[in-house]
Amino acid sequence: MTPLVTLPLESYQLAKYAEPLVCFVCRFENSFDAETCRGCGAPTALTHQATSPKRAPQMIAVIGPPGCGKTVYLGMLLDLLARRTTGVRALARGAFSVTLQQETVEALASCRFPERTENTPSRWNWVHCQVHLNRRRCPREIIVADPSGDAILGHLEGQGHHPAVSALFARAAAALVLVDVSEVEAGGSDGEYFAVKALSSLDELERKGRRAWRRRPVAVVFTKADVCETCFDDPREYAELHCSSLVQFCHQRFSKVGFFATSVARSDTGPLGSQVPLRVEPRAIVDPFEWLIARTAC
Amino acid sequence: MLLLSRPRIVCVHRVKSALRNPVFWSGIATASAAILLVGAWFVDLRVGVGTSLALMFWAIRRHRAFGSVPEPVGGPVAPAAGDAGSDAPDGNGLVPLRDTTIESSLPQSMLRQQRYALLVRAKIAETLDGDLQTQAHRLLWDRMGLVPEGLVDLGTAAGGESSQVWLDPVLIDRHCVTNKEYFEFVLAGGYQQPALWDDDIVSGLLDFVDTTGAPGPRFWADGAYRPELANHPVVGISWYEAAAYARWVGKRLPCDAEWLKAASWPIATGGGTLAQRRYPWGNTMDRTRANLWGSGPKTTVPVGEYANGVSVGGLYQLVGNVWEWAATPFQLPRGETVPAGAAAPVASGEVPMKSIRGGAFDTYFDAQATCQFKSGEQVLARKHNIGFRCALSACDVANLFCQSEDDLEEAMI
Repeated sequence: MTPLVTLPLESYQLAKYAEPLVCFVCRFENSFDAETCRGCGAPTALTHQATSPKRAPQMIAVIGPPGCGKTVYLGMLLDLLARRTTGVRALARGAFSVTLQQETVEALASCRFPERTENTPSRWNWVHCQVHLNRRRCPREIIVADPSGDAILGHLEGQGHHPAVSALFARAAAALVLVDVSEVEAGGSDGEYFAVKALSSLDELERKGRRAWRRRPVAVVFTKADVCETCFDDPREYAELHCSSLVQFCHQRFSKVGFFATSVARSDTGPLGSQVPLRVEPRAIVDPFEWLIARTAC
Repeated sequence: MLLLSRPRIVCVHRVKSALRNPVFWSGIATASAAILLVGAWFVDLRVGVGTSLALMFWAIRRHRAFGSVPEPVGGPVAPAAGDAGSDAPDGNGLVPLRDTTIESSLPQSMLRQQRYALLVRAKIAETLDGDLQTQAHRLLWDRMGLVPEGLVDLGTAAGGESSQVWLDPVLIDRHCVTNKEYFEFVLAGGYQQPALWDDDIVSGLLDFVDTTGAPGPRFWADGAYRPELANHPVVGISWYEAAAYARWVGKRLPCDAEWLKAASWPIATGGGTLAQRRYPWGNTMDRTRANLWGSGPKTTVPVGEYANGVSVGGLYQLVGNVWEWAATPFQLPRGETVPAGAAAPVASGEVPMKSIRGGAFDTYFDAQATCQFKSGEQVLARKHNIGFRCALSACDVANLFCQSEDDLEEAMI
């Protein structure tokens, strides 16, 4: 018979501290009381929560060049999902999951855009939420990050190593690729090239000898589409007309591709050169997200 | 179809007469252009077929563009008896032809077209008989609300001081201009009358077309609105189109201060301060009183709905449904300051902007659906959520408070 041994509480805590906390995003081993992952900068609260639910969370990669509207789109999406205006609704898991929504909504309500996301992973916003779809009984655990466009650009061009971006690209279950319509309308093609680069990078990732992304859903989202009404009429046709190489690449490399047009705010360029949101009129924000979730394997 | 059933009656050399025949046009209204052309071909192959077909084709295009018979000699066409707005579109989406009996007088046709504001002006009113004056005044008070003279606070200026301005009394439309009302303007050839338009936009008039290329708001087709939208506010019109319509009916667009005064209904509380409402119905947001994002059908609604959101002066939907063009150039929002010596604020591409007010069915934030909030839009923009209402200075109205013949006689004495 094992004799009862009374241990002081401190030693029990020490034993817990000795066990490393493996980051859910990048698999980096952190100490138990770390606030953010030392590898990718994601909040460790995310890892604590991700290990608790029965169903493992799925990550969605949000990819776009600097200034294409990732933060505004995600913030508004989360606010819309929280209000349950459509068939999809989302419940934030953890205080850190509300920050992106709060910062975006506060800024837009006072007629300004949120600050540009810094190229410092520890400053990025992460969101872990429980998403309920009408057609599905069981809720889905979704993790979304709002990385800096510069970090993604650096990753694609091999100019810097960002574990968070690498992890998102490799482990995400679906991708939202954002293309700025105002740039397309101005005759620029940087957004299209960026999207092709990102998708090409995803396509090259392998898992067990197979192309990992071939069967994962990819939503190409035209942001700031209020500048071009025809984009809303038929986003796919718009893509074929203005971003033909992107459409061609998607059709060749991915089996589940959707094209969407969205707009959050009517904005214009102020005399100082900065964009000023004149009023917030969200259009078709939830559609691409709902489409992705419905096509993401459980 | 007239031409097919009685081909020998309408001969080619009588095409001009046929075009003035209401029976002919009622046939046109239910037939496709292709059948008509075939019909014309059968009429008479001997005489000037090419000329007659060209003439017929021109007439059909004109009919489809403007939905009416080319105006016959002898005056404009008359409305259906006893109905000022009897042009409800038919089930095919096109507005039916009018009764082609001759209108008894020009003033009556103007009353039917909602151009009563022209008839109440002093110079014109004195030439009208008492009955017409009474009708015009009744329409005026039925369709417009009076905003009394007084101060209004335009908000905190850049220097931190509140800017109060004094306004003379003004009448403002109770509802936004509807598709049905705007159709009268299109029907009367408003897009072909340069005098109604600003000089700098006359060359751009050809660009103000609908989905089929006919003159009219952007979302119309074949020069007509969809029948179910007759009483919805007209949208898809630029600032210039709104201003031209206002001129046509003898009114103008309200300026920012007038709109704000009508919506917030300021009351002087002493000490130089004004109590102004945040919303037309009070100071608390109540989304059941306005068609905003999350409270309505996510599109426009008829202008008479949301009666519980009416302003003190009896104006409907000042907040919600559609943004409303104002006459005032748009000033930049807070946080953006114009550098010293810079020109007036303009949008990208050097297109000037005008103020829009009141929020629309897709306005997301409560803070952007207040009486005080204003946004801006490029003057050439033809958006799905921007409409307008008109204003009329009270000083332009003769015998403003007369509503009966007795009142008028008394006023004249």
